[in-house]
Amino acid sequence: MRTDIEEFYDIFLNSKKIEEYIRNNKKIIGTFCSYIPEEIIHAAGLVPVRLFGKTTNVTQAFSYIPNWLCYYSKRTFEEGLTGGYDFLDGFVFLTSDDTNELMYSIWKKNVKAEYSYLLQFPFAVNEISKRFFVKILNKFKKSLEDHYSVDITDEDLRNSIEIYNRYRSLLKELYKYRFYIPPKVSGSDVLKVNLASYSMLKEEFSDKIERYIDKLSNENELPGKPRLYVTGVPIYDPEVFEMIEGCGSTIIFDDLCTGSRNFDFTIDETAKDPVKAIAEGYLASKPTCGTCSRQGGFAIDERLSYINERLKTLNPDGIIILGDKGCELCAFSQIELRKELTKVKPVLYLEIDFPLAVEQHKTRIEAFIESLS
Amino acid sequence: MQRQKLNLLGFGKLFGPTYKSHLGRQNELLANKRPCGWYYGYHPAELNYVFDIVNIFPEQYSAYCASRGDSPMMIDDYYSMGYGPFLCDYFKCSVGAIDKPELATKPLMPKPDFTVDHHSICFGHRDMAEVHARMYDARRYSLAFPYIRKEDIGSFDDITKMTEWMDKDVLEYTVQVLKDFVTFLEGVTGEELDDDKFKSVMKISEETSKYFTEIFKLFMSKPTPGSQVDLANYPFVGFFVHGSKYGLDYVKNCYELIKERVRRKEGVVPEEKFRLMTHGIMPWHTLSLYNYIEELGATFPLNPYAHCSAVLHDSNKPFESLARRISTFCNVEHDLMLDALIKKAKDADLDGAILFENTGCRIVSGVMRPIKKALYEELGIPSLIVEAPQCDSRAMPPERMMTQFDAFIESLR
Ligand code: SF4
Repeated sequence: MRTDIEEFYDIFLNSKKIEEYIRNNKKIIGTFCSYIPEEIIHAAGLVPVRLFGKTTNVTQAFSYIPNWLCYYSKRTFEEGLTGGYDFLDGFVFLTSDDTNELMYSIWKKNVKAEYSYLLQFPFAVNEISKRFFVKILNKFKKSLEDHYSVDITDEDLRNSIEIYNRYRSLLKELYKYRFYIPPKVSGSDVLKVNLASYSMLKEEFSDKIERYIDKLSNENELPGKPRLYVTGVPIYDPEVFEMIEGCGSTIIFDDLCTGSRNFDFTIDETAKDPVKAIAEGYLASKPTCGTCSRQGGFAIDERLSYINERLKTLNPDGIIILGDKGCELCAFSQIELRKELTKVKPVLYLEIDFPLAVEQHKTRIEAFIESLS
Repeated sequence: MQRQKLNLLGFGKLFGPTYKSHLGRQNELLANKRPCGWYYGYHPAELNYVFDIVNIFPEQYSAYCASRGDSPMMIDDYYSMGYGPFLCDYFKCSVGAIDKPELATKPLMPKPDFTVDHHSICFGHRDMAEVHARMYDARRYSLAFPYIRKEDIGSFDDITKMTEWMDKDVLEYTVQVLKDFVTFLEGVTGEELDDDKFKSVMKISEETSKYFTEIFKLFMSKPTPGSQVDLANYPFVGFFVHGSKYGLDYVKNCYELIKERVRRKEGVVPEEKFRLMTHGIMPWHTLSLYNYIEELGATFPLNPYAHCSAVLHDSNKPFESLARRISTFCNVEHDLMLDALIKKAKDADLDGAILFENTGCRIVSGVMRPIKKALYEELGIPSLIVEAPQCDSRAMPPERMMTQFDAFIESLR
């Protein structure tokens, strides 16, 4: 099983699959947010990959952006500037927050790629915004068709929706092995598996993960330890989860945007208008990260209700909220999130930055885990 | 460098009666138990005058607290609540004021019945409104305006916000959002939109917008006719009370003053040595910093941050006019923003730029480096970027800024 995990992680860490696709003349499109409907890119015969800057040594980026932005934007941009994404044919941003809007222009100017596109996200969930989002997605589709001289048929879209639905449901299936008491797989291992999915075609990933899940079902359970629920900012450095689990715990669920927020929804495969189905799925069914909410309501309430539902079924011993002081969405909401979740379970808030201050964090995590038993 | 005597336009003095009228209206409406809404810059302000709503502005209140020297205490309280350093000062001050009113500048903001956020300036407005509304258990309306890309409008004018074109879908959607907001206000007030009143408010708005845009154009005259301190109240009038009679009277009077000054070819200093652009939110705690620079003979004919509060309205197309307001420097892709800015920089015949990076404000801080680069590459103009949170002088003490200004101006010689 260890080799399987390391193989998955290698795909992410060393862009193994991407290299292969390029050798086969496939075009790679980078994306920056889990709200970007990759199905449309996939249906155009392109390879969508979600970009996560791996470098922790950010220097050049600061000639272009303030140094207090979120680590995701800084690290990813640094990698873009220093040639780490030279394999990209294009990239697609979404107006998910002030930083993403800003970074689109900065990328366009400074990280050259053949194709770039900015998707306008309508934030509110209501009929007006849904109609608008359908138009936005149709324009995006047209732009891909024009640029890459392809026709994206409804059939292509339905096929991609099916592939993505299968991918999402398999990840859901994988997550279930974390719910066992004790779990069958650690949070860090699941993260490594999950990360591979961002750097390869979903159909290939699904085949691979299906085999892995089969094996997992016959595996023994892990030693019993305090069970943690993790929420917060995107995490794509397994060392964060390893640090938490290394202190004597298992992360049984994470609703990060690199976790369940990315896959905990499905899109209607049979809809007459597949673009409309995609718009509905991403705007109204995807678990929110605070980006959008129903008109009149609060994004934080939607988020809390998602978390609380899972807390009820999974009954973890404690919650860790991972924050990033440069992340606008997190900075605004974390106080309320902490306040409300503390009413239900013990909560530890950890502010993450890179290079990771492992020793400093460990002391707090150990004390927290100690307090749970 | 020898210091020169300033000859202010006196817009500040004219503002007193305007603000008094605004507070008078507010108190009267409160006494009549009209609903109170908290609004964030660049909302469709006109509708408050159509529906007789008490309109409160947390950003303007925070700037006011900073000018009175109270903001540091409020910001300290914000930190004590557990919030982090990288949100903007307006959020920090307003949250501090709600949490510990005893520390905040009086009069306090009346409690909101609802909040109205939008997305034509920053995402922060949405989040800030959410926190404010939850703190008061108030209703919330979110104007989910779209962000503008080059293909949506082609180009736009930094002052009038007139666009080369506007994408049909973007315009239609924005108008629908505005109409839905009207339905919300009808629900809040229990009154239907009064079409005649809407027309007359939009007429006032159109007139105001004409003076507004003319004033900014005249400001670019040679020599620069006024001080940045003269413009300090413009964001308030442009963002928050556009459509009010007192707002119109104010800009009308300002227009007369500046027109006359330009006619006489009089400048804010006797000898204009350098013409600078300033951008970024004003350091409300020490506005005299502008005077410090102006006294050295370096004037500011151009301030795109202040321009943000201007727009040219057409009262015959009220919803479309309100919708067009979304093309601000902070809601458009950089290519658009830079094109618009470079055009104005050329017209203003600049020698340099002083750019304020407002820590925590992503949309303002994020554009400064690209602007610096574009000004240099396209016009050979040098810029100084100063990190300056708008309400907290502790992060960048004015004395330190002055040293930077001295060195920059010296380098222009
Ligand atoms: S200072 Fe910036 S982040 Fe804050 S409200 Fe204004 S535009 Fe938004």
